[in-house]
Amino acid sequence: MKDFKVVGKKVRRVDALGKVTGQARYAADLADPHMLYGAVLRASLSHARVVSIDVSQAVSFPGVEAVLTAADVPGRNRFGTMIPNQRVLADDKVRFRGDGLAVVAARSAREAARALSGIRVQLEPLSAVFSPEEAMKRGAPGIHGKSNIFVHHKVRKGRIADGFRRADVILRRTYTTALIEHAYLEPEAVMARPDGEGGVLVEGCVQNMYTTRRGLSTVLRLPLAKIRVVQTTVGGSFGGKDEVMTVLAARAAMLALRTGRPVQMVNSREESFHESYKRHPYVMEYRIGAKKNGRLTALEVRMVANAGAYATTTPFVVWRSVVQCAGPYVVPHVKADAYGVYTNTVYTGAMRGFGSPQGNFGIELLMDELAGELGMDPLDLRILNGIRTGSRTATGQKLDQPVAFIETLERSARSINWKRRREELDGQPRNARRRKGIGMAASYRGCALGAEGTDAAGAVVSVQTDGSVIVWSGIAEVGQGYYTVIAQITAEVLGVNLADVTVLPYDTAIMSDSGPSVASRSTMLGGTATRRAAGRVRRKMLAEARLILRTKAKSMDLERGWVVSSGGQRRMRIRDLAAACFERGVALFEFGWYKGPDIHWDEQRGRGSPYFTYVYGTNMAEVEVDQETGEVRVLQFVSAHDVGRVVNPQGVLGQIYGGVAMGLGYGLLEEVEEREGRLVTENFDEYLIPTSLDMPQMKAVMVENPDRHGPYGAKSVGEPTTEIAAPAVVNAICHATGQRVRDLPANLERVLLGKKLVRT
Amino acid sequence: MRTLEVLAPETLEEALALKAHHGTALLPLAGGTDVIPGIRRGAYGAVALLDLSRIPDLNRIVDDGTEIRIGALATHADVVESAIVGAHIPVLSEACGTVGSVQIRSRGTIGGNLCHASPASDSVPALRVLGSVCEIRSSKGTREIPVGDFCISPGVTRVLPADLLVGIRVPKMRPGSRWFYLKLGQRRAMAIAKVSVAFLAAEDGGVLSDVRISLGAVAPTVCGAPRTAACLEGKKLGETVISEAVEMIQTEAKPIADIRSTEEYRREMVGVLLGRGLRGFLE
Repeated sequence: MKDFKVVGKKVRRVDALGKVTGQARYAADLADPHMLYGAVLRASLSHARVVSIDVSQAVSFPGVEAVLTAADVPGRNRFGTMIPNQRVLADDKVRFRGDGLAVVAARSAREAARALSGIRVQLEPLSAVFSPEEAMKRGAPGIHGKSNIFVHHKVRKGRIADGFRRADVILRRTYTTALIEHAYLEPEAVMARPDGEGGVLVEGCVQNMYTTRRGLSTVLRLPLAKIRVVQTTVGGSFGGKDEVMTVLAARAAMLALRTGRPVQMVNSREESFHESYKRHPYVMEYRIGAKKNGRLTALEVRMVANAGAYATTTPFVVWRSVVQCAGPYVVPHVKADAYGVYTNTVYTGAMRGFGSPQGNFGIELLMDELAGELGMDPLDLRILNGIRTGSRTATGQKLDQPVAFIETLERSARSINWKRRREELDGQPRNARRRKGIGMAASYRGCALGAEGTDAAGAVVSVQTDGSVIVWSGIAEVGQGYYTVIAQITAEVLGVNLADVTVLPYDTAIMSDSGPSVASRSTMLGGTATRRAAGRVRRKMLAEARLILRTKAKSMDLERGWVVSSGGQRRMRIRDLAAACFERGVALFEFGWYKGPDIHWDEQRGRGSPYFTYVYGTNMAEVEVDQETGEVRVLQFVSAHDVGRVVNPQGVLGQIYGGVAMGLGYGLLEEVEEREGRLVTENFDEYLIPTSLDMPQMKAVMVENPDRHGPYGAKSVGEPTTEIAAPAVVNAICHATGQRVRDLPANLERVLLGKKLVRT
Repeated sequence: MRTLEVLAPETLEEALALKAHHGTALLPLAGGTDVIPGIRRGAYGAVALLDLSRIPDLNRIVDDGTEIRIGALATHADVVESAIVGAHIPVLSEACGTVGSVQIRSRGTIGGNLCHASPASDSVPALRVLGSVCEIRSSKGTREIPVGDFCISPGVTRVLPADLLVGIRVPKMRPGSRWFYLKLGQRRAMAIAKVSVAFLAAEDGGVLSDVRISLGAVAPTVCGAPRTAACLEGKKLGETVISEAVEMIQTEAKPIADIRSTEEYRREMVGVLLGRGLRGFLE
């Protein structure tokens, strides 16, 4: 194997300096001498018919330049990926309290806010539904059409009845997960500027530029080419800056085009809580069958996801849940159904994990309960049933790429000394005030989009005449460290220093539509595209170098800023070669494109090969539970992940530590509370996420298992790191107390009293 | 962008004169940890701010012989770091040390904490068991109100429109006093109490007297548990006495349910914390 110079080495993030010195420019930092400030009037009811919106008073408020409603939408007031039913501003109905009714642009933010009070809205209340259970009932008020059930995906394998007939032990369990917020540091913000030729430039913390641009094109009735979306530094996204940013961008763009002036819109934290989509809460019912020896025979699953008011990505989220419902285990007979249901609550959509944290919570708690029932060690049960190279998944896919699942289990177990620790802890007195426990959870995860849609991405690599390099990518940096990864790949291919590579911001004007920056696909797709673009430039450079050096040697290389011969002699500086290429009329500017391998999904039969490759992971946690108060301290945490190939070890560590923190928040603390569709938690004083003091000692185990599809064998790491922390810690709590917690979050009340107490 | 009028007097007399003139239209600003978010939320309506930070000595902590006088503008960090507080009224150091985070403790003041009148305050339960007295000034003179009577409901105190809370006088604890402050929150920092218990008593040969108990976050204001305190009065601590006290406080406390916790959990925890604190004395 080739000895890498930059790939696999610890490097500092290419965007670290701006962030730590405060120089990075966020959308709320943008200013323009002529700019106007936008403000939104939101709904006061959860479900209502819009009778009338009268803006005649508001337009004459001081400083006001425009007040717009749905009637002013130039194009079609509907956007969305599969089921486009989201509105920029409410037209026929209000479907949740975050719906916007009107927008104002004024010369100051204060004047804009004041003008909102001059808008007269008449709403006719409709009966509303707040839980999927109510919403699924016959005769429940329909939110978009007659039925509120708008997604049903299934998986079928074998014959479920046979599987249960063969089982010695059958367990039925129900688990639930909570509605949670992405909690990115930077609330949503955009600036929209008219380009003077009928088009518009939108700058903002947009995660998925092409999706947002498509939405704007429909809403503004403008060709895609007339809309340019440029990304500003993103202060965290975690899947959260998609539809909510399209809404914000569309409103700002409408105001900008109407007034002919730049319009900035910035959500406050409270607005962000009320308006932005969340992670779907799930209710999951399981029936699992196993032989006495622990071999799984059958699994039946029914999942219901609360989608809130709009469809957004729910069809895909629910699909991933059902496809991965059996976890990383071989189950011969599977029957799984998952539903997405509308309610009059805040809508839910993409969030790091995308349907997996819910399903993994269910199956991993279930595996522990089954192990308890069988009198087996939970680790042994998982090793016995774990997928290996060549195994068939719940969807019938044969895993032909090397499967490193068992390795993640074994390496985690070694790291935490699982068997011995578990025995030691079993010996603690049952009634001790503080009791420790150790727990685990595991997963497999399909990389990239899979059967969700076309999976392809582009990049441009351009070597300047002084040898410095510019890279543009069609996939965004949203904090995950992607720009550092593609800078490393470019530096590796071109034999230059990392410091010589600059990645310029994501801009729809430059790059072909590369799909969204989601699904842990950046490195695999965008990284490969970058490697291809850089490879093309490299071949051109070497060809010119041979001409200049009058040699036919095939084995020349680019290394550490030099053109070197096979013997390692330095023949010519890369910067001189770059200058020579320019003089000789050779452009060192190349485009690379990578389309992922074809996959196959049969929706009718609920079978197929939904992803072209997978990553595997295991988390183990040791906790101490105060049995009198329900307080949980996480003492140590091991997170082992097969990442394919490590490109930036610091980046992988960052993903693992951050993923664990997010997963522990999901497990122990986080819950957006709603009462009758009204949000109760609207800022971080009540919505608790873990602080640094709540974090345990963490050990990251990087399992390298190069895959033929990713650049240098790299796969994914962003989402898997957050999808199994919650079940690991909850299983550890249950080991400590001997009581099962089956609902999230496992807060003090739930751990102590074993149930969510009704609040009056 | 919001513009705010801020008046920043340099003497207390000037501040009192301004307060006498503007009354509730002038909102005193100490550390700002509650006031600033409140203003952003629109909780105070149209107000100007009276910045107290330029008034000299308003943050001083002084040993007055039998009492410690704490200036209203002393921060939680000032209290925690004060050797005087540590030596004579350690239950207050303990309580103030559990407030928010380093940043919050370095900005938030003891006077501000009292005036915010949150039932979940950490300093108030400790001040209350210490028998502290609030010093309230107006241009007309000085009034004193015991901490236990100071808060009326969340955010509402007995400070009148022309008044300023200028300090708190805290009687020194007797040597050999038994005390604790225990708090339960959902996380290890930046946690507002779900329940807290402050306890102070004199002890002689294992026998408790002058027992005082304050409960945080169980009622609309920090409250006492007089029946439980009375039940411990004159008793020698032992497992039976403790169990009785725990049981009694769980009947005596009438917890509320709110976003931070439930009635059932709080009732249980009031007893757990009391029992824990009392058992700590036996060790």
